[in-house]
Amino acid sequence: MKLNPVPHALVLALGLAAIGTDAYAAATPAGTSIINQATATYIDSTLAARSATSNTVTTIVQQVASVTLSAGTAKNGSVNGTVTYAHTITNNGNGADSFALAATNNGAFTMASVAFYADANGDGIADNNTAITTTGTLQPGQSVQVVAVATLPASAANGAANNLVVTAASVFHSATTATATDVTTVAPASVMDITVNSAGSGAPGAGAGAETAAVQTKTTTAGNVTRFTLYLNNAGTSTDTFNLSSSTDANFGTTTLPDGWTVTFKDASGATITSASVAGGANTLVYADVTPPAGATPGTTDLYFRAQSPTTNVVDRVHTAVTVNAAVGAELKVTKTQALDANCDGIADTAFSADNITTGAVPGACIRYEITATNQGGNAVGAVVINDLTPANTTYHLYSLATGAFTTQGIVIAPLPNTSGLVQATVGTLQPNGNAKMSFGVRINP
Amino acid sequence: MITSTPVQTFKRILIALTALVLQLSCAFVFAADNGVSADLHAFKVVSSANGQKLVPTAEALPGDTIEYQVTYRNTGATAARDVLATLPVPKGGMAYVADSAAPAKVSASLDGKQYAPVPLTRTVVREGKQVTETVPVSEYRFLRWQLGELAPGRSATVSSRMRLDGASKQ
Repeated sequence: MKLNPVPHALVLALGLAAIGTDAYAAATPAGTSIINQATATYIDSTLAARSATSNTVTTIVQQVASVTLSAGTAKNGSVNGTVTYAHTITNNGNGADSFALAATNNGAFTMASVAFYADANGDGIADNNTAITTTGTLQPGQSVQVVAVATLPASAANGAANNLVVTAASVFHSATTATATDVTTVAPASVMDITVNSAGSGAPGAGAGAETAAVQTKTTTAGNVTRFTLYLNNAGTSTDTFNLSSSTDANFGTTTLPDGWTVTFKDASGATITSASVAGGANTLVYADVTPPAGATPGTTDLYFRAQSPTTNVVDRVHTAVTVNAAVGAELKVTKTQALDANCDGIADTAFSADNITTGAVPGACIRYEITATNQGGNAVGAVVINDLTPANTTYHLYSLATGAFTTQGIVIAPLPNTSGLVQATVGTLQPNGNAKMSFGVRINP
Repeated sequence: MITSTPVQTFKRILIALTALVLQLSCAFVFAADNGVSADLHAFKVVSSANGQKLVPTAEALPGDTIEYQVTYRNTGATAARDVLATLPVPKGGMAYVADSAAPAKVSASLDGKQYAPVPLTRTVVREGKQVTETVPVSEYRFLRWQLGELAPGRSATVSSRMRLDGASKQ
């Protein structure tokens, strides 16, 4: 601070600033004596400089109480659970004082119990199990930290709120108080919501229960594992442990998986688990590794995952699916069906079936065959050729061109009528899930 | 051996009495020459529905306002001239209450040496610029009034209010 004299201004020496700071100090301590004495100077009749000094006047500063309490906070609590609120009490009076601690309830429900405990280190956790009712003596300006621990009643309804009004009252002057309000809202101890791939309310599978359609479908091949990333979201207030299970039944009437299928749950570190602990207001990642057996039939299987607390029965399910594609080199599936054509008009008398024909297959009667090739792989397969031979004791039968050997894709060749030999369809390329069907008839030798 | 006669004894008493009278009269004259007395009183300013009133007090709570009144009386036989009345703002949390000085024409000092008419100002350099600012009244430590001449037997009263720091009083 640089000081310059100006007209009608006072020139300050730097050190003098300290004098003025007295007035800004904290409240003058009780018992302080404030002493004042006036003076005068004058010139007497002999032109001598004289002075006069008054009596001294002493004013004793009296104690005044003043207290502040740090503001309240809002928390969720669950029935029969406890909530802990930290408060700082400061003696803003000018003398040593202690402060009585009390709490009153208002709002939708009343706490089953409320007690105060010392929290000297200010970590928001009671230092010990000794309840206190006053702060003990605080010097002017001194603060103390305490916690109010309240127990929610069993009857409190979810969503109901309690206002806990905490009061610190001066023992020196009981009318001097400070209050703060802590708000407790009842929330379920634990709430489960399984989601897939990401956590939270917008993630696939968010919401209660099993979804009607799979929220994620993974594709694998027989014998190879595929991994689902699941999140267990606990929107409650308390930590809970959830058992993990899987089923092809949305209602988990059984948790037996199809033959040879395995599901292994793993935690984020890759360790195999059968249950997972999830803190209130948090989520936990769980992997579900699904392995169809080596001989699994290609196709899509609905698979449900469930997390259920054995203690609270809080549960949620999520709907997923696994599509098994045929392994490379085994993509093509060929099926053959047959039907009787008793009058040999080239038209099957019954539906085609892989079952044995037990009646009507008499000498002179005809049989119709259908051979279907299906690409069950994930990629197109090329140069598909369907081959079949007329069986022993039969000859190729051609009633009309329209009922002769036929293929739904490509070209077909067949023996001359009434001879035996190769029936062949040159199909070409089949896309994934694509198929081609070759059909022909034979006549049982008379 | 000298024995005193009644006359001698009377003379001695007379001399002693005269000396006593002389001493008394000298003391009286001295008091007259140094004849300005100062009488200080403190009052608490109490506000009520009927306005403020002053109550003599020897106690104060933080936040209270105390009015100091000083009566200067010339008890001598000759005039006192160039009377400068000085009232400190006592330490211990007291601060001058702005515009409470009576008479209103008053000077103030932060150090008891240099006085200037209120309000006090000072020039400081802030962010490279010279700024003239008003000194907060809470920094005033002394008040001074120029009372001029005080004739024999006459008195003059000055007063000012001080507030006890009560920043944290509720």
